[in-house]
Amino acid sequence: MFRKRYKEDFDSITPDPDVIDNLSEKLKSHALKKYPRIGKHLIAAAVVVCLLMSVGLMTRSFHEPSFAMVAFADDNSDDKVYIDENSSVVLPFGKISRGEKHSYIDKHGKMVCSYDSGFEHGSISIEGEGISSVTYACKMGEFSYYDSVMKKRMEDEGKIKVCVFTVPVKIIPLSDDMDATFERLWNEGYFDDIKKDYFQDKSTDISDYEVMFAQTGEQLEKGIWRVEISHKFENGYPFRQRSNEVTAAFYEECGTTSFDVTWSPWYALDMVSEDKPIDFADLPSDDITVTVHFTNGKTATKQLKFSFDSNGNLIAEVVKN
Amino acid sequence: MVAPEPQNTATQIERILQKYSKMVYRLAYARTKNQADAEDLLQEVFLRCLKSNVQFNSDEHCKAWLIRTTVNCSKNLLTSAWFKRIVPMKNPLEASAESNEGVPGEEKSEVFYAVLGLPEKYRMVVHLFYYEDYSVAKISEILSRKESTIKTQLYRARELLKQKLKGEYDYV
Repeated sequence: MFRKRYKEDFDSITPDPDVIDNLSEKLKSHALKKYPRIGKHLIAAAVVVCLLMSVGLMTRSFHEPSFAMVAFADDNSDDKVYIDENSSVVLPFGKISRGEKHSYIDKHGKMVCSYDSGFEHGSISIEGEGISSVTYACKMGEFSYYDSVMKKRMEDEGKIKVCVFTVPVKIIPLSDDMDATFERLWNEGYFDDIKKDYFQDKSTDISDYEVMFAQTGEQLEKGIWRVEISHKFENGYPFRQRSNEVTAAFYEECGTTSFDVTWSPWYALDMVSEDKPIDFADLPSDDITVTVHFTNGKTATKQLKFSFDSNGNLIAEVVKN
Repeated sequence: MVAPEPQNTATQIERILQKYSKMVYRLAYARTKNQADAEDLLQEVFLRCLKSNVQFNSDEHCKAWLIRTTVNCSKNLLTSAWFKRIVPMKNPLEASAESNEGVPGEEKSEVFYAVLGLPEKYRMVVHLFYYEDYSVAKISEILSRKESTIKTQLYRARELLKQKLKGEYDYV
């Protein structure tokens, strides 16, 4: 009931249409300003620069393949920071912070105190020519990588979602045991039409699937659930890698963004949330190894160190090429 | 020579604006509790989206980015000197509850006022959990906070809501 009431109340919170129209106009004019017409002299200068760069790249291609490491904040990928050799650099993301202190009684009746902790999201990536894949590994934190091309392919092949249908709320009332109610109805034959339409060549054991209930404003009014049945992936979706080692493959349609991965210092967040004084500079650093596989069969590796300063900023430095 | 194609074109942004403006506005409203600031945040978030050139690899990615950016932008707003110097003549929510002015849309239930009366850090989690139907794990990922922090905040928020609503809603 609470969720239903809250949704009903917030459904009517909508921006003024004039605000959206004005914003739309503003965005269009910004987009135009951002990419002005290029004058002939600028084109000529750009051609010269391109020629010089091509010569540089051709010269470089006779030597060992190389790559550059970049980092950027999630909400501003234009503001890239290059992680160069022989210097440490403050990254535009990853600032760690401690929030308010909480205390609560846990289920064993024990008083537990901890702090909120958070860090600013962002990504690291690499830039270079002729790269087929990149492997990122770390010792303390966690990398995550989202393979949108694989996801699209799996969706197209029907390997994620099995079916979507609606059920009246009065059949499955909102409660903590909705899954159990659904399973009971499923086993009693209430959804035999669904089984017939979508599960003829599949297991009909509902525990082999994920069942999700959702409602939009219109469905709330009609008192129905949108039920989605998906394949269960015991180890998570294969297109989402979350581990201390991930590999990002190059996709032509994604360009250099193919190699964007995020790094999360869960170990540091755990320490920051503990009920004890902390200096962020004392948090353990993480050793990162980036291995780039080139299309010509060669590989190149860089080792980096990620650490925090006393203000919580994330610092990166290349320790070995 | 052809000028480089902007990654986030006006058309793409327009599509994102039409699809997610309500979601961003509602989140901004839950965070700031007033229309004017929510509208400012809405503009700021979409301008950042245009400027950032971020490439969304799915709707889920786009939505998560917008939520995170709304929360980040509202942090800046809530901690700005200007925001701190504003002293309302009357708590806008109290005024709204009495007259229903200043709150867009039709009359709201006590649930609405109870949630907006929660401390700011709880409102975000409650909104993402109850309105956007995100799981604790997903909220943790989007807000870059530990799952245990989200669980604690949700627990504390529920306790406060139960007190405010005097047990009227069973599934808080």
